[in-house]
Amino acid sequence: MTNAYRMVQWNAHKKIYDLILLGWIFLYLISFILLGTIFFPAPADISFPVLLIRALGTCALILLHIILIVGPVSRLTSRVNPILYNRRHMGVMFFTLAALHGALNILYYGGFGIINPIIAILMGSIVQSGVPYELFGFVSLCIFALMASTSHDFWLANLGHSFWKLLHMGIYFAYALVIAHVIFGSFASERNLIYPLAMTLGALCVAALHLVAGLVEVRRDHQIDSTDADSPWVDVCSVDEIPETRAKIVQIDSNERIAIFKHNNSLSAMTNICAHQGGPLGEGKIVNGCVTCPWHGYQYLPESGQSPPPYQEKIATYDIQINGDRVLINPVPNAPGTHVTPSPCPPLSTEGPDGTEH
Amino acid sequence: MPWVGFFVFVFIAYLVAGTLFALVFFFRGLHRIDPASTDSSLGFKAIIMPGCIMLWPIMLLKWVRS
Repeated sequence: MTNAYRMVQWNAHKKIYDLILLGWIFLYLISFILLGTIFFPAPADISFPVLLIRALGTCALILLHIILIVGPVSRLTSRVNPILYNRRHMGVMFFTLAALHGALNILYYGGFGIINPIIAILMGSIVQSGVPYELFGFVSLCIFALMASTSHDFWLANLGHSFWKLLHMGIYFAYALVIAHVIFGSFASERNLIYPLAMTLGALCVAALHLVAGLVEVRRDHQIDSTDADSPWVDVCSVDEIPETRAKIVQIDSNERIAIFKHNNSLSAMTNICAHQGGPLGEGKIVNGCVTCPWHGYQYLPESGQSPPPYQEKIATYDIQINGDRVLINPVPNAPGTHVTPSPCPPLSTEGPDGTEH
Repeated sequence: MPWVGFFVFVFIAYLVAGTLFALVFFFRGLHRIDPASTDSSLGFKAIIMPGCIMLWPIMLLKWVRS
């Protein structure tokens, strides 16, 4: 959370995450090169630089697919949340691998001539196959560079959430360019079907998971219509539907989703969108008295939507009332950080189903 | 294909201009556009430098407006 910027916001979990990821990358590269050396011996051998270029490229591709699918999969199961939690470090590692793949390509194939290596590579692919597949890879690498470079919270704060999000949605355009780069590049170099087939399968998985997650999300939405135009209050659910320290997410008249949290047997309502990266606050829980975003752990006080001092993030709160066992919300958001006194829940009913006291 | 050469020249010129901008910006403008970056470490500046190089027109605009 924003107070004073640090170079990298590491904690114990993120360090373990990064170590595991680095270990996996190292093992993958070693295995790829060893297996390549064993299966393609002389005289039809693939040279070490080419093996390394392919190892880096395929490793980057695998990470890119994990990055792309972990978002939609997290809508289906919370088991992948630990991967989502530190996805930006995975993104930076992915970019490093892709940049090494690109740099080695430029140096190996274009670095020994008399013209600029980048020009040599970009023109070479056009001359070779008529399709600028290296240009596709180059442009996608530039987009990934922009995303990796702006992954620090400084950029989120200074570019604004909407622009930052738009910039990072560029991953889908860059992914389309990567698909073209791999498919046309493979056909141009050796007409090998393995890479195009794997790429197509990966793209289909990414598309299918996004579609399924979207459909599940639409079904899950608890949308409510405000029927009484004279009253600002909308009946959204019963008190019992919200477990202690957790939230219920509701949407009124297609407006922004609202998360209603229960803490100390009182209810507070706030926007479901985290100020950090738009994470779904209502899928988080209350930790140490604060609503905690499940994506990156940003925290807010339930009664005001403000991050605990010295942090400065603020989100919108909503006026809330309890009538009997029904929860009523005013769907007009308060300014971010507005204090709203939590509504105490009625004591639990001691009546049995037959109306007798127990 | 002269457009490839022109494209690469513009690309490199943009990055060189961004590098020069970033070096001045770190000493004069960074703390003005974002007070939370006052007294920030060299490591932090190194982390945000590639972004400043790539997005230098936006950062220049923010600096001027601040």
